[in-house]
Amino acid sequence: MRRMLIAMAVLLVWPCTGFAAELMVKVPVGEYRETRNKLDDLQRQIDAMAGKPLKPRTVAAKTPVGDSRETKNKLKELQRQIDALEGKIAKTPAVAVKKGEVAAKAPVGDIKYSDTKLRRLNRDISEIYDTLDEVETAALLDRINLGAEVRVRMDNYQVKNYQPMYVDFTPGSPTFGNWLVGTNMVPMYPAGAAATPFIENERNDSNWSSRFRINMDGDVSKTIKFAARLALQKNWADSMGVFMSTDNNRAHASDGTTNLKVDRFYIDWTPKFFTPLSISFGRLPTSDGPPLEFKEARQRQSIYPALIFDGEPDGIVATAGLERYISLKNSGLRFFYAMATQYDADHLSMNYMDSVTNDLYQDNRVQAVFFETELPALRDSLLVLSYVPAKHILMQSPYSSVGAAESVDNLGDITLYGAHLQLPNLFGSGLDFFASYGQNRNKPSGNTIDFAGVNFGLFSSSGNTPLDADSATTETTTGWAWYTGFRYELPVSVLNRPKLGFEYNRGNKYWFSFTPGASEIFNRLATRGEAFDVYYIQPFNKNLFLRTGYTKIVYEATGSGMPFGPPMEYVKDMMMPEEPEFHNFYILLDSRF
Amino acid sequence: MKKVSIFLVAFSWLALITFAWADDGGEALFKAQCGACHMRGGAAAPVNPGDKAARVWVKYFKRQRHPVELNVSEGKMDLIIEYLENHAADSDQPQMLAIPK
Repeated sequence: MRRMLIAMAVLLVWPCTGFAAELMVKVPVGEYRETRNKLDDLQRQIDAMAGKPLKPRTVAAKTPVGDSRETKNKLKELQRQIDALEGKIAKTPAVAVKKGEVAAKAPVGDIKYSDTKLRRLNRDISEIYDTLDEVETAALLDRINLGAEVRVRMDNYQVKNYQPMYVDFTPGSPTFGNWLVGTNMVPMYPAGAAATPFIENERNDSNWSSRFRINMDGDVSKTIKFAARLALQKNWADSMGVFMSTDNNRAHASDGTTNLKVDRFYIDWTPKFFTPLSISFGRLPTSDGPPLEFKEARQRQSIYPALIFDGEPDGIVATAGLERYISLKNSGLRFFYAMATQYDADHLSMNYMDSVTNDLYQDNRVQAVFFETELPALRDSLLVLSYVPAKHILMQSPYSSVGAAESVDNLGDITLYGAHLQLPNLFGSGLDFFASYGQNRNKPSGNTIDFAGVNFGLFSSSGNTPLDADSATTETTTGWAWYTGFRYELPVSVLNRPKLGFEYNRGNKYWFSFTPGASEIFNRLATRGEAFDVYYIQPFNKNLFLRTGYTKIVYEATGSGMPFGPPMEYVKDMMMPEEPEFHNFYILLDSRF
Repeated sequence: MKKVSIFLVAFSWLALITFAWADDGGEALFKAQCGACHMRGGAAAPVNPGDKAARVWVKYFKRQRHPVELNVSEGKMDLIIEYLENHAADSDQPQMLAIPK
């Protein structure tokens, strides 16, 4: 038993000794010697006063000889000094430092200064640790990072040969008109809209609007990330009538309110799995996609090319990483399930398109597959191949009462194919290039919805109007569009490297894709015709830039952005003497942080 | 067709000019200069621009906190710092559901 206790004691003492050694005060050599010298001097004085013989190497003492009482007092005083010195040494902070460092920096000959300095250092380090603890705790509690964007924009646009379509949902007296000539549709048009004038040439010289966004993101854990965005878009000076600002294809249409809308919110979960896989769900980042980041002077904002899908659907995405299998950098396959348009029958509302409150669009399911990769030898390049089948386009007759389930019809299927390529900073030249192609195959089911006596199907019609001429209700049609452009960063450092961009897109009369998320004042990529866009970006610093540009759209067929009704070519079908045109000069200031 | 031709000519013209202006840029310098040590299994731990906020990167180099003396010219160092600032933790980040690897 005794041996065991001794062994245990030895085992305890051994590591404690080592630990104690770590805590030992390490006094600089210089200071140590100085202290020893002072102590020796004191000792000599004490010895002299005590009448002891001096050590051989020391200088002869000149201590005056006094009476024994005085000597005793001096001894006591010296003893106090010695005790004080020893106490200071004992209290020297246990800061383990390298001899060389402190010895080199510590002033020689002033032990009080070194002592104070060490104590101050110790106190500072303790305070720093305390502060770090507070900061770390606060950082861990700040689960969501916040950012903001502010934009003010002024549009000066001109409209020629333009007349909007309209549907009046007034109960009991619904009306519909201008399909033959209308360029864009204006649902929920106020009663009496039939008097909407034809616009030969008119200008809105100052349409001011603001956009405010709050961006949020956070690392919930090592495998879960969160992101969201709240947005406000407000018109604050638009005295002109309807025109393009009522383009109902726009999800981001401004209005007069200051309401915040949730643009996106999603969780990105990348579990530890035998193969690279991530699951994302929520209101997904599917607006302002490539290549719109060039024009917006920012990083990529969406998973899908803008020409194919630019909206804000709620859904689920499964992403499989392929880089380790096919040796293509950043390659992956995305499986996408979402509702391209949504309808809530319980609350008689449709919240997908901000500016649309009608019940035309019902739940339209989209199950898509996207493949994307970076091309070899082209750094940061992006190639996206898209396959987006939208089966059973469900729509409701506006003629019927709101929410009437029996009026909902399946108009058919639309299948979208797309290829997008973009090459940013080509070979380090400052030139960004992109090209995008989309094709949609439309298969009408033969069903129609009733627009005040005119029956519209998917890209078709049947009824008792001149539209009967195109009433191929089950004929498959093919639409297409291509979209290309570039952006060049001018190598002028004095001007913070401004950027010059040009874009062009063209769609045929059957072109349709899901692009209501456009952040312009019109849905440019849905154009059945052609659109030119040139812009100049002037950065002031990394948080603020100005963009000014000019856009021209020439519509060649009716119903851009609408999947129902037969598209009519303006000149060919002689419905209008000239093609409608839209010209817009704009300038905006954008700041984000 | 005429418009398309004009576009292609303009694009080619710009491309020719820009290749003449081409330089390595901060990213290439960062990868070459910093990546020589800061890589997996390298002499120093891997480092990413997103490890620090932009202002912290600037202060880091201004106070010469890098433990090893850097043999990089001032001009190149400015480009590297600019790259670090532009891709720092508080810079604009892509929102596109990252692809797992």
